[in-house]
Amino acid sequence: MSKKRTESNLKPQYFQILLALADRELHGLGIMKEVLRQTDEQMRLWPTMLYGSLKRLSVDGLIEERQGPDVPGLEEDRRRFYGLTQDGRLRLAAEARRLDSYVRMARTKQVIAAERQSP
Amino acid sequence: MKQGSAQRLSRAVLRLAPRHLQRSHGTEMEWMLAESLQTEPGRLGSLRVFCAALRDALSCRLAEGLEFRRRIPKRPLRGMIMNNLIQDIRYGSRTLLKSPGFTLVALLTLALGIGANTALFSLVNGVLLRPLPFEEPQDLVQIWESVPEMNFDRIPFSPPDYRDLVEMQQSFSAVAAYTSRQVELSQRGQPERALVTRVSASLFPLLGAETALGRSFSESEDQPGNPVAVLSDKLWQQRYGADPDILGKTVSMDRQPYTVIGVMTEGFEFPLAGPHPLLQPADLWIPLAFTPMELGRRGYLYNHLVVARLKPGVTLEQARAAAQLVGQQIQEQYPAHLNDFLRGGKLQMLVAPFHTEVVGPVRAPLFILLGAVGLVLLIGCANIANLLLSRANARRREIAIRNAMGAGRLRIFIQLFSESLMLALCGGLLGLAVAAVVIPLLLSLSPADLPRSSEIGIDGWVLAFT
Repeated sequence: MSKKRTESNLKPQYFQILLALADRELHGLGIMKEVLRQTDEQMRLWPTMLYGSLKRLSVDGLIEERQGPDVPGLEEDRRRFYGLTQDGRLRLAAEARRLDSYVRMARTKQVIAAERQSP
Repeated sequence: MKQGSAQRLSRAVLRLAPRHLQRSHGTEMEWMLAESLQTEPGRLGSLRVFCAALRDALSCRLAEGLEFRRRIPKRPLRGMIMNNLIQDIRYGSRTLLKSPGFTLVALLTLALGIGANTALFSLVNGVLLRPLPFEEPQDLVQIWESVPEMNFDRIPFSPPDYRDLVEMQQSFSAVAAYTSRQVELSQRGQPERALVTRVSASLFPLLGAETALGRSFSESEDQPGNPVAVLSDKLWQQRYGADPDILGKTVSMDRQPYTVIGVMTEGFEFPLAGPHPLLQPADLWIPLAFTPMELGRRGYLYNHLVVARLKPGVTLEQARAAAQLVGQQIQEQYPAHLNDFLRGGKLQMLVAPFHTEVVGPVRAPLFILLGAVGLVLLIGCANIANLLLSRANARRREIAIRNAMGAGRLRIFIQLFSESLMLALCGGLLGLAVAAVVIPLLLSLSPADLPRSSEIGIDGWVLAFT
């Protein structure tokens, strides 16, 4: 069943979490803040949803727990960091391409304006 | 919001999250919620955070629950229950057989307790609870004469008093009298003693009793000089070999020939056994047929029991009040010497339900006995409960393993319950067998005046009681 889920569309919160972990390892609160930032504060992951999603993605082999930097005075729980696995990276890329194809289609049909060319 | 109360509230909210998340990420979730609270200042901000966290926890829990249900392979419920039941029964019988000592002791205790109770209850059922074997028995009453001032509490009727009662009363649709005596039956086969009951012609129609052969007495036969008899089924079978041509033949009672005009149906008994040597089911019946001498002598032969049927719509109380008047009227006809004898005592009529009259004397002793054996069963049950409890204690390991393997509380409960149920069912069956042995034994030991003893046996009610 879990395999089937990874092959189908990713839920938006899973996609955002994977995206947050694309360039670095983060702990729970870091992921929450990063998702908030990358969605222009449109998506806020509350604790149960966030940790539920992290657990599900770990079980599906898309992310994994990593030992975070050893900061003196920081509780052990706070050092639980997460990073993308190889599968996770592939899955994220596939999902991004899928979404990108939809966006391009929307542009072709002039649903949204064409992408501005950077100078 | 104060930090302590905020922390408590956070914990309360997060307790609603799925358990596995609380276990693996509880501290982090709490920490994250605290951070969120800091970013939303003010009470309103805190409220917003808590509401959002609450919605988050509840919706996740709900979603996981739905997901979990989706993942369980669906089996037809009825099949599952049947499978579980069969499994439980097989497992239960194996465990019970594995500890034969316990099973034997428990079954014996149950069998004896239930057996004694069933036997006693079948007695109570047959004697007290079942309606009398007559037509509309609730309308039947027994009438006694009584002179309380002379301590004559309940005396049977004399012939003239009975005749007057029949003529004067208006609350009964029928009144009948009967009196029994021992006679010698001879002529065919060995002479033997038999109980004959002289009955008024109105008795059999009043009881709704029917003959299997021939007929009962007519009014004209209820006069002196009509030597006719009706046989009980028992006498007909035993002494006359169920002779189908018995009608019209003569039987000899105290060397006097009587012509047989009828045979009662099987199982018909009258009078019903009671606390008097002559209150025993009769072997045969002859007409009461009072002689002019019997009817002419007031104050003699107070040995005729009277049974009557209430008119439709007449209550027992109304019949009692009317009977008092009849008593007064009868006494007015008493000769002076009889009233002198009564020393101013008033002749009264006692009207009592026939059922109470028949079973009254044995009612209390039977219920006391039933209560006593009920207590014995209770003690037996307490003993078995103790045994089961100590066994359950010894099986804690097994139950823990089953629990760890995924058996829910309900499943374990049903398993243990089905074991107890099997014990109870087997105990009940054995108890029934014990009762079947004990009932004839009880009947052979019971006094002859136990009323309706022939009606005692195991029937649907007794089975239900067991």
